[in-house]
Amino acid sequence: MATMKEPRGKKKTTPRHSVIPPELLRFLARRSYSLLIKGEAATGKTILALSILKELAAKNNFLYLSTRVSPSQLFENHPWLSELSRNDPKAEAVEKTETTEHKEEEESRDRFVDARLDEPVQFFERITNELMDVRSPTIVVDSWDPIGGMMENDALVSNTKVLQTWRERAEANIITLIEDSSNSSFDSLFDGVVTLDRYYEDGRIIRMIQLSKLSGVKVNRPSYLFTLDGGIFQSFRTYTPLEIHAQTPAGWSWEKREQGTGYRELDATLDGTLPSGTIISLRLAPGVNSAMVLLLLSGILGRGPARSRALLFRPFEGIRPEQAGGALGEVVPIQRAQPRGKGRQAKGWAESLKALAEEQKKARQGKRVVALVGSEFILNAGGEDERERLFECMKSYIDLTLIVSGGESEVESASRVADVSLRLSEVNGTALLQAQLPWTEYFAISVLKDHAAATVGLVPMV
Amino acid sequence: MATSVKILIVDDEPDITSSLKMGLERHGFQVDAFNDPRKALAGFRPDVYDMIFLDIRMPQMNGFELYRQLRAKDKDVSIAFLTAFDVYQNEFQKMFPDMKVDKLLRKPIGISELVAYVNSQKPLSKK
Repeated sequence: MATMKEPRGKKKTTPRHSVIPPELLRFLARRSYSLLIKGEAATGKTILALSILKELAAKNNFLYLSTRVSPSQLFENHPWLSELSRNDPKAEAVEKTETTEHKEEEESRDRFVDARLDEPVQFFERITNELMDVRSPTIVVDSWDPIGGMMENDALVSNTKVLQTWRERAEANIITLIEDSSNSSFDSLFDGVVTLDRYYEDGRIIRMIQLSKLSGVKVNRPSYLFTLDGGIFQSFRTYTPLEIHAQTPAGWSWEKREQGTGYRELDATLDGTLPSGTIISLRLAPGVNSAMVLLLLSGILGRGPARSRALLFRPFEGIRPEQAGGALGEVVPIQRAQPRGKGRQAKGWAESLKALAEEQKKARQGKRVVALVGSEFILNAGGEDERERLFECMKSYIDLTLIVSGGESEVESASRVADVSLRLSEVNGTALLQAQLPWTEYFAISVLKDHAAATVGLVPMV
Repeated sequence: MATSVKILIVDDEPDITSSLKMGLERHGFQVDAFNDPRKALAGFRPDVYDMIFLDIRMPQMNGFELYRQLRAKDKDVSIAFLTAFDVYQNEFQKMFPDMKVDKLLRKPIGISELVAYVNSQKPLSKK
């Protein structure tokens, strides 16, 4: 199959909802706070600050001082900002005229100030002026570095102290962004400090937020993976096998993807539209829990009723038929066909699988037949010739075969014949899916369970 | 003596300017009041006023900007800020050491307090 990176299509102006780590959200609910967001260039500081404003429904009660880019560039980079003025749920309940909406958008734009040419005095005047507002505003300084570069450190620290005093007195909030992550001289002056980090693993981007200090808030989890997909900050909560198991009988629903992943084969894998005879190799990194494996498999294979497809199954990596059945629907065990007639030799695995596939196809009147096996099955099937016959059988008689290998037990020959090679791993409690062949970036498997629904989604790590 | 002292008040809230103007005039001071800082600036001439009271937070032009422009025209005039926010002089001077602001007056301010302040600044009259 040809590999091609496809455009993700036209971005919607309103991105998916932001997901701020719960500890940080609790901190932001304080009556007054100062938050320092640290991180090198392109780590997502601006998007986090903007996402916080969105999350807090700050409407027009904020001032965004931009010392790096012009407000028009900010709006161009993040088109959803024009809707910031409309994210007050109470406001949405009232029907608004176009003129009102336009006016609100204008007002919202006015809250973004171009401070690129500001001298320190002018810059601090703007903040002081805003603090004198009676509305307890949220002031975002993006970023501190250009101003800091123009001042002596002592003067800067002194001004910061005064600002903090005024901020507290005004019951306002100050969010300050700083690029110099190694500079900790301001940490003690802020109530909260978070650090954004970005690194590459196997050529794929990973982003992490460290909750270094959040005064008055118990931090249960000090770091989260996050993505900036859609230009909004979205962190991922840790999945728990118990929660996945508990929900499995009722079923997890995979989010309907509004736009493709950008990778044709991955889309086809998730949409169940791969051509008949496709073999997928799924490699599990050490430590990945079987609950997550089954959750992913339910996304690829569906959890349809037995009538819709036949699932031929061979236990693997400690996953038993009843577990697979609970997560994926009825399974048909793959067993070695017994010989008919005395003295005849047992059939080989390839022949047995072929017979089973044909039998199921016939019984289900031509519905899809899919097979789920572990790499041990291939390894133990026999010699090289028998393995080749098995692969041939999979390609000819089975619509989709998934070969799962754990840890180091990947079968070289399975990788060789696979049309799609996936890898499931886990970083910091977040499950990550990637395709090795064709190459894709990381996708976080987001598991959300609330009163209304239990959903699973695939979110690109960008 | 009081009659020769001339005061300029700039605050975007008409209620404040009118009550302060009326109260100060009752005590014999000459007062010009503006709600639009741009108009106050347009008509400003150096060496006319003995004292200026400026609101800080105004929509058309903030008090800091107005202060800068007035100060450029009149280096010596006494300027005080009116603010609804609790700011102490020492904090303010720390933040803005180059700003020559004589007093930060907390709003709402009573006429007697304001008159006492004006009188404490004598000799003021430029005439």
